[in-house]
Amino acid sequence: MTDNIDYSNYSYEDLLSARAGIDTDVYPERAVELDRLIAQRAPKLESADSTGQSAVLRQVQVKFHGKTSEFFGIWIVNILLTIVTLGIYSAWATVRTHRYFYSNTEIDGHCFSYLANPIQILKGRIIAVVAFVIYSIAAAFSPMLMLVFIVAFIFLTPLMIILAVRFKMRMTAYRNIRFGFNGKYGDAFVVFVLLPIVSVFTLYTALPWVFKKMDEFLHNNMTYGQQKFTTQLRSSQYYIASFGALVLALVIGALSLLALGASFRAFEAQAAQGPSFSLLTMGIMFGYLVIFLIASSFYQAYVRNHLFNSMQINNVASFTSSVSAARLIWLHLSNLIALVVTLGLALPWIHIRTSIFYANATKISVLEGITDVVEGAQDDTSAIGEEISNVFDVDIALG
Amino acid sequence: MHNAMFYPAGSARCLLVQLDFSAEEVRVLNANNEVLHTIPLSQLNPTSKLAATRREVILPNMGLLSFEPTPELDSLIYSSGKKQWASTLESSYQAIAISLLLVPLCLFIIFKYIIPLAAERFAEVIPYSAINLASIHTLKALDQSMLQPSELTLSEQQTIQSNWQRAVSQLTFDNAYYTLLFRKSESLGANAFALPNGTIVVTDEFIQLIESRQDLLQAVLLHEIGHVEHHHSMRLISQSLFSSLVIDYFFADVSGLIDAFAGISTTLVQNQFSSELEWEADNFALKQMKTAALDTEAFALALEKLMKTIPKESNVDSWLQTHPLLRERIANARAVQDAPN
Repeated sequence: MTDNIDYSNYSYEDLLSARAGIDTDVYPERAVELDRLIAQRAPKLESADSTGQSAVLRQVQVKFHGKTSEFFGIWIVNILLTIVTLGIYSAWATVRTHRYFYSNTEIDGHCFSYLANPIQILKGRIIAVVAFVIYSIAAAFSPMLMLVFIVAFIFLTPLMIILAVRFKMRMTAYRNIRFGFNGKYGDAFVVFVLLPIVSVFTLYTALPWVFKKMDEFLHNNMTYGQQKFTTQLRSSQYYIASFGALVLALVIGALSLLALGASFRAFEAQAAQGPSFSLLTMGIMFGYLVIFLIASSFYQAYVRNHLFNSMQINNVASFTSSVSAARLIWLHLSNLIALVVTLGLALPWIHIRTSIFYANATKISVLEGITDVVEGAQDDTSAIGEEISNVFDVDIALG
Repeated sequence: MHNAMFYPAGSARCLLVQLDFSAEEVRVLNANNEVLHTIPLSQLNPTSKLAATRREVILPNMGLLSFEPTPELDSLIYSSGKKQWASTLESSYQAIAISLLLVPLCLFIIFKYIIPLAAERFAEVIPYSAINLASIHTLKALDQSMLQPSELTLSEQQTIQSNWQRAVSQLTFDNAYYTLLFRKSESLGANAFALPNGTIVVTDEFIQLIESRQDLLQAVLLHEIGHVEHHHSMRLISQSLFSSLVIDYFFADVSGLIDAFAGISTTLVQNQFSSELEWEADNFALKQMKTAALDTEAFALALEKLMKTIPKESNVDSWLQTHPLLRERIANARAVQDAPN
């Protein structure tokens, strides 16, 4: 063997393991190269944090390698294949899209894997479509039956959330170790059904606290291999995020109503001709969308930073998120404009740049225990929950 | 020899290995050149090729191999006869160009022609018993919420009923199952609507509005019958069912941004569709009136009276309304009157 291994892509820890396993007499150049790289990359060890976690090996930036040019082809071809197969290919398209984003997300020299099987997704999708059709027809034919469905739906929602999150996590692997989710139905029912109802009686003043409980439920039940995620979330942060989003929405809403009021008068003369009313409907909906985007971006940025900064995987990793609310608002607004101007063709670009944005705003502190992680308990997970909840729009964003 | 990362099954450890391919098998060597595994090429099960992402090969019970793609490695691991056609299409300029043309075209055809056609066919095959059940339930729900018992006197009701029966018996459609009901409704105001089983409800406020003029009432009721004859409720239901299914199916994977957009586009498609149905019902009524030698001006008059009850049409409400602008419908009614038979 004369060819030298290119170690430049290896993580620090891989270098260590390579160095430990190498025979210096047989491969002196490699040993020298490895020593050089190890010295170069040796992390400045940070002190162990107060919770008695194992020491930080190194802090690394999340990297995203996806390219718009590449993803555009995947996206458009997959849509065509989905259409010509009457939707059946969409399961394969979903898997390929997820795989593209997972495989291009790199932390510490290792990429994520997306493990779902298209057949799992197809089955789930068929069940979801059948359920949706039955629900829609029943709802259309009988308002009474719809009431029954709504009640059933309230009880099914926590279950669907659990199944969807569990599927998503089980299908995600890093270093060939799967993530998992152990949330229980009872807890989910309290957090996603009871607490929101109770918050109505507090005139929604308890809602930010409910949001915190939701995030706690979702993230404290996640696992990586046999290791648990833990968070220390603070209600105050959720109140700041929610209140800020509300104020933003109200201020912008009031301003645009003023502006709209002025243009009403200008429009009134035109209204006699009539035909442009759907354009105006669209204008109003667009305005609503913009306000919603701005307010939700603020909330998202604030809460994501707090969540990531107070979350860790025991002995494995802790997170740092530094999303700027202003930049996220701009990202979402420019995404929206691009989407409209290109009639949807900018979607692949939007996905790629959004992934790059979040990757750049995220750092991971790799802890000493990373190599001690072993595979957690295996179980079969179906795609049904995820698919049903997708069609009924109760999917939980983990962004 | 090719560099690869090897993740032994069950733990998060990662080994840097080299892959040594021969004609029959691949050997996985560690940094000391010791053979960790030897796998026959026929048992290699790589995940399908996807752009320039790292290739992954699952070694059952042993672990996972992951490596940067090179043309040579690709030809080695994907040699087993399985064509990577998805990846080939996704990176072919021709396939992308064709998709760019066909996708908008297909979507246009689906939304413009296939869904409305499917909705129409679907509406026609729904059995009457189901439609009847739906109508009865809907009326019950409305009676409990928006409708109150009529305050018209019994004799007023009977006069309207018998006039209506006489008029309807001269018309050219099967009128056996149309029944007329009276209700009072503060929330709906002057209104008339038909349930898909042929039950027609008029509000006291409406009778008041048209000052009990039989010709105006008949004109409006014929419009409502037009909705029933053309299965409009069922078409609306199937249309919205099919469009949301298609939108969810094709765009379910995309972000919330698109969800909001899908919402807007369904609303717009829906509005356009239902205003088309209004025109159809209008023209049905006008045609019936002409055949029965009734004065179609009554229809225009009824619409004019209705228009007065609606706040000015430049109001925000009317931008969102699904009915085509009343002015255009009045003009349409007058145009029919002037046109020769």
